[in-house]
Amino acid sequence: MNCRAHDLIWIERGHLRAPLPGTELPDWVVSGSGPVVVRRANADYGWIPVGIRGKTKAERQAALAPINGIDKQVNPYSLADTKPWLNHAERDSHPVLMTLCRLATLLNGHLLRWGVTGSLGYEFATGEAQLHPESDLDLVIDAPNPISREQAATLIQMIGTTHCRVDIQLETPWGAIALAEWAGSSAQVLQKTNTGPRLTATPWADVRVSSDEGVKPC
Amino acid sequence: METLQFTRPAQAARIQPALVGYVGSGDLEVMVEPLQGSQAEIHIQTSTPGSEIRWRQVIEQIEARIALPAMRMDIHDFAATPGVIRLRIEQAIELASAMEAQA
Repeated sequence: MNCRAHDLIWIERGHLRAPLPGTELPDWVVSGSGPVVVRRANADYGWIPVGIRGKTKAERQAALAPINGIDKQVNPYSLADTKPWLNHAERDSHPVLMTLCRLATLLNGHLLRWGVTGSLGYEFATGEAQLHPESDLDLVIDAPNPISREQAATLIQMIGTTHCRVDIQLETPWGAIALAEWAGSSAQVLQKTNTGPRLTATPWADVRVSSDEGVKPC
Repeated sequence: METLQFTRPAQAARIQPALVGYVGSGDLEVMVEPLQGSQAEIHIQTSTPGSEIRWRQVIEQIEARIALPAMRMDIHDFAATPGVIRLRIEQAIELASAMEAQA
């Protein structure tokens, strides 16, 4: 079993520890419930860096989860496999779901392995309503092999105008880049790796980072 | 959205307008325009409340590495980390300055 950024994991909150030695997790984290989200960061062997969502956007907390304490794990791709948006009560009225219905057909038509992250991913995984009128649609495309800038631009063009803001990340073996930025004209793009962000012109081809980047045993 | 503004001493320099970054969570968009005089005016719109001290620290870190050109810089921040902010601002200044070399 491997953990990648955006995976949701279920774990007893009491097993979590604060990311920095000598600090403690706030009460709302320890007393809360629901899955936590795997973050992109380095962690000691046996631990997974996670983020916890609170009731408000200001309540976001980083923590470390012990690998052997994980009860269940769901990745963004498996959330898309079962097409839960088709059974959603707001599928024909909420901008995020209307957008997702259209993009799902488009992405599947391109034979891309893609998934749902962010608040909608959390909602699909837990059944807890997360969408609000200003919600964005956050998607991830698994991209183990290079996607050319021309292919990215074609995809962005086909996506066209959407009912809500859409953030699509390309998950390369080394970290994530934004599809829209890769489709644009900037020579270098921002890549979020486990060792921090960097600017690169070659997000799929870099040997400076170790080969286990992005995938942690768990 | 919270609005912050910093005015910092800068070097008169011939730069061109530049736009870098990405409107998406954990990222930011940075626009640079040339400004007469010797000041850098940095205008920030951020989704992270109470982040003024953090922004001041990031700007000071950048100043320690590169000389700010006289400019107006507009930033739309979507809860980016300090590491991402630093990279994006340096990318914008580099692009604005590189265009001058090409002109």
